[in-house]
Amino acid sequence: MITLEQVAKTIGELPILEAVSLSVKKGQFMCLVGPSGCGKTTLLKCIAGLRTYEGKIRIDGRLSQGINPKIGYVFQEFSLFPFLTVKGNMEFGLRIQKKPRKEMDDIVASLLDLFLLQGFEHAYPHELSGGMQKKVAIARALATDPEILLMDEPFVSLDAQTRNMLQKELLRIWNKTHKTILFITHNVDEAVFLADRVMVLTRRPATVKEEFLIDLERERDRTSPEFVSVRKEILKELEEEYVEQVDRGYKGL
Amino acid sequence: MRTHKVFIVFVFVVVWEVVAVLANSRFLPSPLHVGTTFWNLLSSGALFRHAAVSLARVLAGFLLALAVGLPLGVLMGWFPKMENLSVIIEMLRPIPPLAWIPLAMLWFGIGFQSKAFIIFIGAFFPILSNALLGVRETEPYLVEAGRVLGASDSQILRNIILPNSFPSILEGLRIGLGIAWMCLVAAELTGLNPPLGLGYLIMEARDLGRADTVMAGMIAIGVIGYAMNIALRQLEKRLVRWRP
Amino acid sequence: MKKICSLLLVILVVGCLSQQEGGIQSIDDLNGKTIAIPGKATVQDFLLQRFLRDNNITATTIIVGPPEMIQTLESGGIDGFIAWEPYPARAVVEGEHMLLVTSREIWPHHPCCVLAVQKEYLAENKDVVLAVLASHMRATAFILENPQEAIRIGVDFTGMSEEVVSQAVQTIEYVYEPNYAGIKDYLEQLLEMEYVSSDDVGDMDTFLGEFVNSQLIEEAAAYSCSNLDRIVRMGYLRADLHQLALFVALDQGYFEEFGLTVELYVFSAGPQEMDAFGSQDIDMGYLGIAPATTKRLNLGIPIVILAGANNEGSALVVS
Repeated sequence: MITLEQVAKTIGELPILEAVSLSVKKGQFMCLVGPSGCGKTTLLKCIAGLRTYEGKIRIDGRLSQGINPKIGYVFQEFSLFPFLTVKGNMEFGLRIQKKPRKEMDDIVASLLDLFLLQGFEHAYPHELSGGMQKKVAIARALATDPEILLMDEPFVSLDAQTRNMLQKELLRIWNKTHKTILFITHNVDEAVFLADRVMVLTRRPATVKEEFLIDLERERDRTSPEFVSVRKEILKELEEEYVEQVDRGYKGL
Repeated sequence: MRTHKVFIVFVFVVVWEVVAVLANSRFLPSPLHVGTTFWNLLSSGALFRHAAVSLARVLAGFLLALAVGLPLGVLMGWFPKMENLSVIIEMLRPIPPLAWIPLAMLWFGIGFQSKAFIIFIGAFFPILSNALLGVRETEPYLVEAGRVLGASDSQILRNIILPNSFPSILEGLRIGLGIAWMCLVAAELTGLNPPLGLGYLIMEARDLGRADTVMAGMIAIGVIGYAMNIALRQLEKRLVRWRP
Repeated sequence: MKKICSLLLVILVVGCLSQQEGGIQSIDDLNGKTIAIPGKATVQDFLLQRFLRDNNITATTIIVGPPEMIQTLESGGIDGFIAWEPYPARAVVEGEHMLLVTSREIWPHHPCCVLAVQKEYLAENKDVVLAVLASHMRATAFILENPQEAIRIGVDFTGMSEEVVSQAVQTIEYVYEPNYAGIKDYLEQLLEMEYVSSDDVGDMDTFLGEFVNSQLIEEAAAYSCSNLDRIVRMGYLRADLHQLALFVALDQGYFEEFGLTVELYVFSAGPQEMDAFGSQDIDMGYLGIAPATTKRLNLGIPIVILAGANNEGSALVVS
């Protein structure tokens, strides 16, 4: 479980986050949507312990400081270590934890199974498609068995088809592993398709604007009236932020 | 591909022969003449002795440059404060290694050390700056990816930064070795003990006006330099299979 | 940077320590020592070989450029060197090293520096060549008659101290007649050591008759002219007191009296000057007999020797 209390962040004079409070229950899939450049990535990195911040972040009720082994992270970039094979990437965290060889092999084997990557363990990242690289990146984050998975727009640079496929794949894996997922996106469709809850953030400095519970049966039909209506509502909230941003921009002229 | 290369070399030699015959000058010996001289130098063992001494000088200077330049470059790339050293580095770098020859002779005499020093100067900067560049240009998300997986600073340096910079470091070694080889000849062109080395061979031949021996020495330098470059490229291919 | 500095320091110290050796008091002490020569097949090379052979000594010879000889001697890289003046005089005066033997004692009247001309230039510009030759002869006579004044000119041109210059000129025999016998003797040694090929020499007297032109001296002695209005490109060696006649002729304005403008080209060693002859960048030049002969034969650079500049004038110096 993740709990944020009044988390704020300023870089130099520039306020990035302003009193963000939210909580994600254990096993829940939450999406954060917000206008681009609003500070979503910074918020995620604060939770992961990669950035300093003001306020409190608790993981399972305990104050979290620095890197937390309960947290796995999937980057927006293609962040696999290019010099390691698929297997090497998956093992990286396990090696740091000095796990015995046998255990590492077992974990990697089960991840290859889970992600349907059998036969690719000795391939280098540059030999894989973008979608496969993303799968390996998720598998790498899951290898050390964290309770929480933070995902920063992981599918942003993929084509629509691959993206849809990976969304389904992610849900399948989430169903099997019961991780708590905090997923950032600016794509409302993706958020509604994936999440139990969607949080809309304001423009920078980011704070929580509105929360939506998505109580639709999975696998969700993107064309169903319910889906479309929730999607519309969230888009409306989001557009207000864009309009204000543009307004302010004009006034600034 | 290989037959093409052989063909090009063949054409080059033929053109050279034709030009040499047309010019009919001692300033431009024919390939046949140079080849004979080369063979005589080779079969008498003289060429081997010269080349061995030259190679020893290059390796000493190059390894010293590697031992100093590589760690320094990595540290400068890794610790922001160390980067201030680049003021000195950037001022020393544009000085041609050959400009150090007078000082090298004053400090180290005419023996092995002064030659190795010149070669060290030549190889040092490319090795250092490529190591520095490799480290500094490691994408920050790779470092962060290591951090969230629990890696400490030294683990990140060892297990992420260094392997990721490896192609750049190897490239620096290749450039450094090339420059070292070039510096060698110039370093050997003036006073040295023992009187051996490919540069010395050329210098002596020049003083005596033996253009064929000068060319034979040049060919030996070219061939060895070419072979070293190929060896390093093969090494790179084997060690950096992960590169597209 | 600290690392580099300390490393260099270590190398420096090790280098210095490894090169300390005892001094030389007499000729016999040279046994097993390292002696520098300016180059293979130079007059100094043969002088040293002759000296070592005459005294039954074995020593290692290595090549060091004359400008680096004194510092190399002082850093212990060599135990002695043989070179042309002013390097021995500088080593004696400035470094308090010992002059062991002069080249006069090894090979009396041995040939050394000469005045040479591009063969084609001689054919096409005989008047200019005669004017230069006449100036050279006059300057040589001046040196012999006014040694003190000549030393002053040497000081002006080389920037060295009067003490060094006067010490140096003592070992130099200034001449203008080409030293035919000496050159022949030298050429025989070149052939013996196979530094040049007998195929290139052919008949020795025929070759030397063409290579060394002794007739122009007489013609030049009678030559007079005041309005040549010509430019000649002249090579010479840096700070070489063997070529004092050139400095004197310039200082005394002998060339100008013929209406001749001399464009000077300076070289650090004779082989480079021969290359400039080869590329036709200079018309005439003062240089040593060794590069003049070896490169005339091995590269076929067509030059003719017109006059001597000096005989002797080298010395073996030890620390």
